[in-house]
Amino acid sequence: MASAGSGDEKAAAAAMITLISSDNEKFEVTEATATLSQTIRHMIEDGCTDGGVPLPNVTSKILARVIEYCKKHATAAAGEEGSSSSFSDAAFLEVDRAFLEELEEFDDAFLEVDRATLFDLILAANYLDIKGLLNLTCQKVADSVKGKTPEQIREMYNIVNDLTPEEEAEIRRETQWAFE
Amino acid sequence: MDESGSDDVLGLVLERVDSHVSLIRAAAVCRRWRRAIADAAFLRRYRSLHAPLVAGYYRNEQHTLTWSHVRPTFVPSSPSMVDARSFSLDFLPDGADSWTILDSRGSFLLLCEASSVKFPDKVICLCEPLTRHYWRIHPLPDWDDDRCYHWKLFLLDGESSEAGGRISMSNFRVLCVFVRDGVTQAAMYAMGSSWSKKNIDPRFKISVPMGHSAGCWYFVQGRALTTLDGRTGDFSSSELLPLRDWDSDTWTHNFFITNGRDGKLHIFTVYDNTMKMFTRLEGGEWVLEKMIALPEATRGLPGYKPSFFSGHQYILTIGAGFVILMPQARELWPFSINLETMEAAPVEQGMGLLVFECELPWPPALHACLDR
Repeated sequence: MASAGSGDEKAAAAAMITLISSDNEKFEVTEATATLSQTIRHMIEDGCTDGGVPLPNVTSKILARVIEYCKKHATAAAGEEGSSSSFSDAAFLEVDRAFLEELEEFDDAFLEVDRATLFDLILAANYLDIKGLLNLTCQKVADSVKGKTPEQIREMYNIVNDLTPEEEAEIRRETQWAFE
Repeated sequence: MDESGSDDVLGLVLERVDSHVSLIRAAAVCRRWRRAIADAAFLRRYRSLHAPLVAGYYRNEQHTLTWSHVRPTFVPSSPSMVDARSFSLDFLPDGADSWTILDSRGSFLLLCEASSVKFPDKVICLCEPLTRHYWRIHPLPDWDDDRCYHWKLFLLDGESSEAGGRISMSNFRVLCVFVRDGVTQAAMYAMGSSWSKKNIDPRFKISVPMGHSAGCWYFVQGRALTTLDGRTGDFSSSELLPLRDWDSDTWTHNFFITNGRDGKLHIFTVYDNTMKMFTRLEGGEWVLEKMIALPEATRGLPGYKPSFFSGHQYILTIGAGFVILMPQARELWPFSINLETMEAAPVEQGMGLLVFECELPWPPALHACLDR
């Protein structure tokens, strides 16, 4: 990113960024993919990405998954811009719809991971400030809590119950109607 | 989630739990989750992301035709979120049967004793069915039964709480509008400070509200639509359409105002065997959106006779999403109209007179075990 002038957008889109995971693995990605992360976007804007972007909080395993997500969604974002500016016919809307469906399928498949990976993805999405990924992963966990008893939630997520039986009884008494 | 996740991330997950009841259960998982959920800033944010849930509807049980058997009953909304038995009013003094519901707001009901007739003798109380709490409201201090009449009570929000609650046992308000010596007056009851006089436009004539929706009551005064905002307790007026639908002699009885599921305000009129739906646009003007001819709409119903449509149609009941109409005829032949689809159907057993929406309490009671 030596000199990305405003008229030099094509060059900027093709520019490559190197991301370095906590275990020192290097990932080459396009700027369009990398800037789905607000954190990296700001680094690029500040011109401090030469020599690669170290991400000490993200392992190579998780970073590979995050990049997979960003690549797919960066293509989607580019496609949307293209179609809205130049085409509005039914055929293209149809293509758009098919693409959105494909994106949804991708997201569903993407979330088919074990709980530990899911939490690592949430932490990475939070750290890298990738709104779509953060929403997707947090919503997945939130949905899994719905309709469950406290005991079931603890089991699902290996949470230690630090409430005494007396305290639990007191908590239930406060909002008895929510536990019946 | 237990060890690795930061509190920020836990909050991001919990604010997406799309069920009020599940959120309360999540607050019983462990101390960390409980603290995160009980936090006022979290609750306020959660409230801004998730609209209040209507748990169901109370109504004063009355026979549709004879107006007898006054008794509050509860119908859960579907799918039901909470066991309907939790909404029992059996915790009120002398049991549920001796009370009539006057108004509802949030998770609260305003009730009065069903037996006595004169206002100052009536015991008024506020209750929250799910938490089984109630509070007796003292009558107006200087009420003179010979000079005051036509009273009506409205339950209003208090000050918003830090957790995004609008009304609570400790900050609700009640507005009483009444006529004294021929002049409309108002008094406000605020929890903790009893009754005080409230200024009101003396031209306002107290009448049966033409509708109650989205926290506001609507009255019609000639050609003006008067709105009482239940958040502030203030009145405002706007112009109505110049329409003969509410120009006839019986105009006070042949239309009503309600909110659609789209959140827009609608006026339904029943005039000349035609039912019309007017919708208020964002700019404030009213447009005719739907219209049905009642003789055609009801032709397929059992017992239909063309003669039912030679006279007036009475509005018997306005419910949640439906209205019950009855022809002015020797025979009793009530029918209902679905307000979404404008389709006619026979009257089902148990369609009550007035419905009072009841939400789940907000903020939820999360006080125990918040110590470190």
